[in-house]
Amino acid sequence: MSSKLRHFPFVLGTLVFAGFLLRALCALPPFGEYRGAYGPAILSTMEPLRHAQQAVASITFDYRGFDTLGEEFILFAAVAGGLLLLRRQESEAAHDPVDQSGDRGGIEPAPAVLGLGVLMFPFTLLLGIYVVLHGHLTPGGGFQGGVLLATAFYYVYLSGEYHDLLGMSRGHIVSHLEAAGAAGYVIIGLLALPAGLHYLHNLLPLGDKGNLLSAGTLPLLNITVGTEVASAFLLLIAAFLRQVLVIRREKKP
Amino acid sequence: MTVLPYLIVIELLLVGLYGIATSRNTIHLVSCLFVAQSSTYLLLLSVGYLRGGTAPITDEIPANARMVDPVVQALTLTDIVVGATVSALLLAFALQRHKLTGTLDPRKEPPQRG
Repeated sequence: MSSKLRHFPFVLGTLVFAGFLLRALCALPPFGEYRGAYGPAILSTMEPLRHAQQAVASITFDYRGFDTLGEEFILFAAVAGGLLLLRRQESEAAHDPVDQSGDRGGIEPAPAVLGLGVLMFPFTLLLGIYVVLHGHLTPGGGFQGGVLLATAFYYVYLSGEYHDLLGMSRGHIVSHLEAAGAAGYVIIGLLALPAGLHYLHNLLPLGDKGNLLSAGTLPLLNITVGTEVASAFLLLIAAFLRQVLVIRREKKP
Repeated sequence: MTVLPYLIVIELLLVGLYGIATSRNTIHLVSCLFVAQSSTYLLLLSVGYLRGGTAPITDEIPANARMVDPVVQALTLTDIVVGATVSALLLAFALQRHKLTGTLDPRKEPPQRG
């Protein structure tokens, strides 16, 4: 079938679909006139019940805390699957990356790129830690801060020091950190069970609203999720890098 | 213009679907899937928007301030995580299929054996 002919049913179906979709969306409350009941209920109860001030974090880690456990394990399973897919196949061999430039001299990264990478690494790391720790006070949280933390390590790669990045991920520290992050969430939830309370029940003192140590287990859950997300993204980028740099097709004898 | 956000949702979804349907490169296809999925972020956030509402963070704001719905924002967070993981898995598949078949064109790859 020619590609023109192939497009015809797609365009036809899409137009019909778009019509139905537009009708359905126009039946929603008009833009800007949200009338849901759950949002106001959470906004009015989170301060008296949890001493929390950030509604999105309260929902993610408290009202919907059990769902977030599932969400964290979606990420965990996807990274495990990705690493499984990107492992060294039987037909391939792993070699340490070698300089193939011969006697021409290796290509050094430009001083500006190297300098910027070295400069940005600590600041991005610090920003990531800040966003994770203040997830229950300001916009941000474990997921966002975790991605920032992983980004800090991408600067290592961008400044040409991928040997360091590969070495870092080759040890088991990062994968242990990922497992610890995932397990930490489960364990914090389980702590409430021996006392006869519900899973993820808040055992810690709630503290004063707006303080770093407040809102009970919220900051702890943020830290576990941040650890898990940061190590997951680090493992993924290292796996893709290994495909490019280390794993080679075995030469047929 | 109260339908405009919904029109953009439809446009993003259809542009992404068109890209998927006509894609000749798996990496391009994964990007198109992400575009199509980003329409759901916009839809969720538009549904929860309240005219004149501020971010749902009750720090130093007047007591009678209107705030947008935090529930859909938390759902959007879940949505983004799922989108990122699906993309990572699909890209890993694309890489291995390229090694096996030597092509990234989703139409040229022969059926895979189990």
